[in-house]
Amino acid sequence: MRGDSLHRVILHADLNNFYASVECLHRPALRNLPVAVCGDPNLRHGIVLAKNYPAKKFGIKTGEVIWHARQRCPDLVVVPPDYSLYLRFSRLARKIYLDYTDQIEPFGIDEAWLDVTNSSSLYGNGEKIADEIRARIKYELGITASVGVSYNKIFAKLGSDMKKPDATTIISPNNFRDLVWPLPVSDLLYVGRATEQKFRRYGIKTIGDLAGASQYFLHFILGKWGDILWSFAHGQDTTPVAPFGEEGIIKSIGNSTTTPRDLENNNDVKLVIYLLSESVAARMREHGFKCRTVQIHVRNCDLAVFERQGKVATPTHISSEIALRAMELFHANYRWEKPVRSIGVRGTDFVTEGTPVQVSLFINEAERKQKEDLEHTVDGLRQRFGHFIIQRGIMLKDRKLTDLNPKEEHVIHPETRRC
Amino acid sequence: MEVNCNKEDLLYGVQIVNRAVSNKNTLPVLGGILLEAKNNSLIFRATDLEFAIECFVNVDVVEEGTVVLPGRYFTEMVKRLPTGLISIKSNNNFGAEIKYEQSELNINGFDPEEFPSFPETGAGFPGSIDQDLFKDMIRQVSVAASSDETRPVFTGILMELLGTDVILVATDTHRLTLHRGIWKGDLIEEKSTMIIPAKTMVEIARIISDEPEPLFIMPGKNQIHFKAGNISVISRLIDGQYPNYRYVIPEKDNFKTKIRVRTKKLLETTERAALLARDDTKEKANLIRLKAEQEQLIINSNSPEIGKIYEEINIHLEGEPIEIVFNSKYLLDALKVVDAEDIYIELISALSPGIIRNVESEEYIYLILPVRTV
Repeated sequence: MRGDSLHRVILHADLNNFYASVECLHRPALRNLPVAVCGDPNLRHGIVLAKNYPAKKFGIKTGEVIWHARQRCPDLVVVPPDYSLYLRFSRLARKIYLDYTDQIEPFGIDEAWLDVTNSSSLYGNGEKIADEIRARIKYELGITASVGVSYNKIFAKLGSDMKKPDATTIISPNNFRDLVWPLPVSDLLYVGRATEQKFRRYGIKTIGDLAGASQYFLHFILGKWGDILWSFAHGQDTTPVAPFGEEGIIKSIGNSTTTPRDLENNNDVKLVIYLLSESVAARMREHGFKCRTVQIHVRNCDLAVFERQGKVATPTHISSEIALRAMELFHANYRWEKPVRSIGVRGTDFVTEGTPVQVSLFINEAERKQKEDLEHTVDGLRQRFGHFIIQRGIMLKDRKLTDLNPKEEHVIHPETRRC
Repeated sequence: MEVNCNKEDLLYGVQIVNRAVSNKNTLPVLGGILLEAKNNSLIFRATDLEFAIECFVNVDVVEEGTVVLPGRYFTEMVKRLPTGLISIKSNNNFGAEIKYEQSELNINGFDPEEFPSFPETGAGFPGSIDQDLFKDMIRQVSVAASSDETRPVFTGILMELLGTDVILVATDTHRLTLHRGIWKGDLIEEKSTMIIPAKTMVEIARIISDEPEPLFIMPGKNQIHFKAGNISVISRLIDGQYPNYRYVIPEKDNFKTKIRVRTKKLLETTERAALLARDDTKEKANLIRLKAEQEQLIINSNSPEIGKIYEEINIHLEGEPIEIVFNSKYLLDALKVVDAEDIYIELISALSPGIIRNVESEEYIYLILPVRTV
């Protein structure tokens, strides 16, 4: 039922300090020490991904580099991330949500919206369900969650951020002016750095300022996003919570990595592009897609970024075809004025695997079919014996660069929906 | 300029050149037909800068000179003139006065100075090709030319001359047609290769004769000149490298399946099957599935919203049974132009190119690429 927008009951559950909480649960000795989950500094992934409350007291922030965090907190305990563990907890949490509704829309690994409008006759009102969910997460999983309860998704999300940890916040049509409007405008979903700066220029600092601005004016400065944000500030967000299992239609599949050392030449880049393309191709096969467009994303050592894309001759999920196109794009666009720090490869513009393809005179389709069969075989081998059971010869050229499995280690689960 | 001619001659000339009249507005004079009276003949000429057609008829020239008259109006008017003697006389405003029976009409024209001159080309190849043969070759080959302007070479027909061979090739990368014709006269010693826009070639096929009269070919640097009796066609050549077509035509030994079938039978079946293979989504080709086993060819197509069809035809099968999917349009094109009572369909595998040709000759082949469905 997506009836009256003012009478929906929407929950937004946020697992507090998710990575760090799971780690502390598994290493009780760490519980009262300042802990940060960080990427591997040797691979130059050394930033803080999550931290626990003791660490937070030292002012440690997510996204901070490790040495910087250590300056403020020399005793900081740094642990590496274990994504498969987090994924398991995320699934367990979702299982709890499923007891209350089938309208669950995950937002990243640790957050989810729940529409419980139609469950209240069984389980009580939103607040009661929120409290019950929190209690169960605490009891059954051993971690805490904060839950926002409101009549739309935007306010529910703001609510879950208000009181942490392990708390329920209710934002109703009656109290949202007091609770939401004083918040900084950047707290609002979709207000990023650029939009915030624009707002600041016009004196819009809080969500209340935004709500007070004229919709016409916002439309003038932001286009249709102005209308959308204005209605968000007034709680007029009517977007439904997607039913469980209805994942957003996948529009692209990509992998990127910051390499353990700067890439100095085309050969280095080739290694990494092949590595990433293998993962991208394997994931496309997993989902039954072929791409018609390949995109690359390149960041040099000054952190300057560019992206380029190009069509492939025929829809493909063959690693080498994706890699070759990515290399072409790279060669055509990179002048090597600076070494490369990070590269991404992405397949997009999908067709489903079984889509009939008119064979072309200058493309040997029989040979392509053999390549596809080969890659499926490699997928099977890797699934049974692990990623490193079989490798391209080229990967041996520089073990340090190629010693990673982007498919498992560099995929954010579940893939966040694009709006 | 002043000439006296009869209606039939005038109509003949106008209709021959009229296809080269430009319908773009960029250069208005190109929308005209040039009439030039000279040495007892009336020359007609039109061009859209892609190609030019010129032809002449013998008339009574009173005064030599030139006019350019708007192609469309003039053609439509000439068609409607009464049979009999017609006099055309230029006036001072680039127009002409046309008199017939007791009537006269005036039509405005363009300044003849602005009309492009007919480019000169070098000496021709020593010899000629029969017009009726060349006409058939173009008809059979041009079906495979592409209309996709992003790859210009494929919008053309490749012409190769060597020894006594005249070879025409066209492809849109999904099929390839090749016809080998005979050059009459001296051997052409040095191989000559050019890519001619398929559109021009189709016009040439339209205006040349159905008789084995000689067609002369004069290549230029960027142009080519065809001369057939009183008609001349000059075309721009397409610049670029044509891919090596020999490389993609499979060797004879590679074929694993050879199907002999009545052309008419298969054409009728395919036309029915094609009706039920329509697919509105642009991506998907109109698929029909062919399955050859024992002495049967089974044809299937299926359009979820309209219906499906199943047909069997008797064939003679040599080699292995096969199942293959084609775009029905490509198969239909082949069957329509092949001109044979019986054809061979020679195949390698469900993903490799096949060849369709006359049982009795190998001068013409239609290479067809399948659709991959798995």
